[in-house]
Amino acid sequence: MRKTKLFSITILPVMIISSALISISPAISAPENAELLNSYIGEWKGSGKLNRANNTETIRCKLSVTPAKGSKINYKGKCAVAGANFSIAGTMAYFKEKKRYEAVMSSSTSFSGVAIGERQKDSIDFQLKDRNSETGDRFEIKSNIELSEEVIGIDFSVVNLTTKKVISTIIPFSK
Amino acid sequence: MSIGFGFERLGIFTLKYPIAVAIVVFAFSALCVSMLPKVTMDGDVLRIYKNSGEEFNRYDELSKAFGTFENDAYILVKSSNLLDPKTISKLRDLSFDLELSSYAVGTLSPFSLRRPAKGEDGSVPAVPEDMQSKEEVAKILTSLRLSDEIMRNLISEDLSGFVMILFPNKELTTGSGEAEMLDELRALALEYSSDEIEIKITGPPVWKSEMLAASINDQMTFSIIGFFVGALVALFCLRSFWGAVLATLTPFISVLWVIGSVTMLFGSFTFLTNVVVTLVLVIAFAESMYFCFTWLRLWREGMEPNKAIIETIIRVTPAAALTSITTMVAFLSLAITQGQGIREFAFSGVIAVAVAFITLITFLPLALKISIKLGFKPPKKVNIAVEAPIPIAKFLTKKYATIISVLSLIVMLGLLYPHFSLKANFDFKDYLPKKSQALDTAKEIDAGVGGVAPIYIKIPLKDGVSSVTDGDFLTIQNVHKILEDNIGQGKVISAASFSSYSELGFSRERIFKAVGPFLKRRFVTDDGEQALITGFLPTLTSSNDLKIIVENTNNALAKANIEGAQVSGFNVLMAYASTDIIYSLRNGLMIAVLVNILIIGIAFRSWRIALVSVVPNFLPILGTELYLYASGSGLQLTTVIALTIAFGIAVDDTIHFLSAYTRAKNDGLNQAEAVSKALENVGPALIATTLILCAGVFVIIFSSLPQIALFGTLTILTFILALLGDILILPALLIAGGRFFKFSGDTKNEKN
Repeated sequence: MRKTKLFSITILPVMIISSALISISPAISAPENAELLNSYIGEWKGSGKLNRANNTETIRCKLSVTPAKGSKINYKGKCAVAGANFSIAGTMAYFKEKKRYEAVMSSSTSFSGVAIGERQKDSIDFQLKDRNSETGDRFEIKSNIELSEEVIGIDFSVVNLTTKKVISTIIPFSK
Repeated sequence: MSIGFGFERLGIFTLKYPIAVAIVVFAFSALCVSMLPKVTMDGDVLRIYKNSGEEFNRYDELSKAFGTFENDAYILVKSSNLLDPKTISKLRDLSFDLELSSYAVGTLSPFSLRRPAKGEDGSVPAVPEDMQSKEEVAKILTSLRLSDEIMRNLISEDLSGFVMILFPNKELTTGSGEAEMLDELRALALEYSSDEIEIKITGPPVWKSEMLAASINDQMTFSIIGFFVGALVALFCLRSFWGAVLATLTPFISVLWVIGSVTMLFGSFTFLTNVVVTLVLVIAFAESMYFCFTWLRLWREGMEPNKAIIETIIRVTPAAALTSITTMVAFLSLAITQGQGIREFAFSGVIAVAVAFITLITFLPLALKISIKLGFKPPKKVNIAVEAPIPIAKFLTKKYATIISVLSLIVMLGLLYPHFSLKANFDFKDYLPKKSQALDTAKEIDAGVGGVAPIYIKIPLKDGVSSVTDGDFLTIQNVHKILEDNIGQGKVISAASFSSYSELGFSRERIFKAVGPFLKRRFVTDDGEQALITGFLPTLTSSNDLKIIVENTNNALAKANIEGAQVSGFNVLMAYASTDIIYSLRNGLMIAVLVNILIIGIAFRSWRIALVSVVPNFLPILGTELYLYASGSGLQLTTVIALTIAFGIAVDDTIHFLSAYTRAKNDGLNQAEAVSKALENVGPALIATTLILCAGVFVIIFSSLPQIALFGTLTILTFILALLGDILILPALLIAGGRFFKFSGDTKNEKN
């Protein structure tokens, strides 16, 4: 039994929320990056369209960010499409020596682990390859994040490398 | 050994070491005060039924296999313009926000349903997002109602509204979490409400919160008013302000100690343990009044006030100890009943009664000693009103002793008929406030979509395949039909509900994938070992109607040879387990009455005394049962508890009277003189106590909770019957018994 659609949907919130958190303004130094994590503290909401080959439907997400020890932050997010919701929670920090952000996360899906975000000029590119343990399908997940004023824009896509099917979405998050 | 089995010595100890005891009393009071901010009431009704028997076990297994259902919140959405695509779009946003609630593990609504996508893999929302006209919306909703049994139970026939169900996260909604979830839902309802959209919330979490709020509010209000009115009546009876304060202080401290002790031991109160506070208030008030009345009488008769305290301890506290023992036995008898709720109630009751007694013999003597030091003077005479009935009682019992005795025996025997005819009755709505908004909303849901209160049939599947084999699917279809035949067409959902999609050519595997893992788990377990068939009943189905449905369904399942099928549900659990608990409580009480009569016999060392106490002890219970029988109220949880309190008070009055009677007999008085003396000494205290308790409880009749109001009516009735039993029937029986009782009362340790 193939679970392409289900897996794609389940990985989506994990990646979307991770991406939202990693969309820190790039033109700043490492300590500032760390400090800026705190600017994400608050309640965020976003809604967009989930595009598949022949249909489109709404996806809606929310994210709650609270301060944690040191310069870390805790986050808790949830995304919903018709008939399903998925949640994720974890802690995020900026690592100066690695020049990257790392988010430890656990989710209501099979996904858990460490997500990594790296800065690219005016935006952050985020990429993750994963394999569905049940079906063996391989996925490539790409996202581009832009931060402007109080809105985080996420352009996001999941490609099933086995079936070549694509799911994409654009979700603007705002407080 | 006295009739109090020596427990009154604690009172003597208090007077011997007043400072040490005062320190302990003060320290324990301070500890209990420190507990007050931690006092909570656990609204988890399941705690009451936990380990109560087969129905609970079935429900527990069902919850473990398919998730929990008792916390589902129903959101009723109504709109005069529901078919407008903009309205639908707005309500879709609401469904997303419900799904995104931190407290939700899932939702069920027209917007949560998915159907297999035509011509491709995957699924799409059953309510499309791009509808453009009212006609299109009407077509989709009508089509959903006709083709999908789940939607038929959620969307109203006139397409003016629908129900959205939120399945809460059990871990997050325990304790205060449930109230926080309701706050979040109410905020959402407010956000999406408009001139055109009306949103109401109901379901078990709202009912529980209403019940909790109303009962806590009642408890607070009525305790305060009850104390105040009780103190006023004490003032009226004693004709002394400080006398009334002294009589009221003991029950106040008793209640404080009980609240502190129960919180320390059990962490929180339940709907049942909450009652012991009322019980202890009643008993402590009664005992305190006896104590104060006796002390003031001895003081007025010329005894030095401090010596009068010692003498009061010697005279009153053995009877108080015996009363406490008998009441504790009554509670302990309940502990053998299965169910965590009843056991907690039983042990709380034992603790409460013990605490009330300890307060009486530690705090009250100390308070009286302090009052003497502060210059308290006794009133010259108690109010004439509490003494006036005594000569009448003396006259009647002397002149018509035989008639009263025979009549009371005949009446008591006659009252056995309603006693054995009474049937246990449980209706959830009886426990909700009279003006419950959630109840009104539930009625609207019942009127709109025929109700969403679930009843479940869990069946084992033979093949254990996640997407269900044809053989197992046939079994599900059979059970689906059996339940439908019993509760109505279109009122059942199961894995067999998606026949319209099967007819369109979709495989079972695709249909299950399309509805999503959450909804699928409500039909078939992931391992394919068990299936669930859910029926929707009107929310306000009575327990008797529910039992008929369960029995008919069970019979039909047996006839169809469906092995291992179990009918269950929260409503079913409440209907069956509640009546079991009610009968257990009643039977436990009747056994306790008999055991206590035996204890009275042992304490007074007279089987004759035990025998004579049968009538005044049983009469208030049987008389109250007559009221329940005649009024059609039947035996309910509250009424059985009221009967327990009735027994507590009846036995209290009887023991105090018999104690005074045996003292008089020991002083050499003849039968009639001893009865007369007992009436003079104890009668006014009995009358004053009854007046105070009736006045204190009277306000409860105005409770917004029908059960509490009924509780108030019943306790007042039982107080009056207990008084009649002890100042009229008991003296008449003792006089009419004449020679039969002439040897009774040889308790040598008692003295006048």
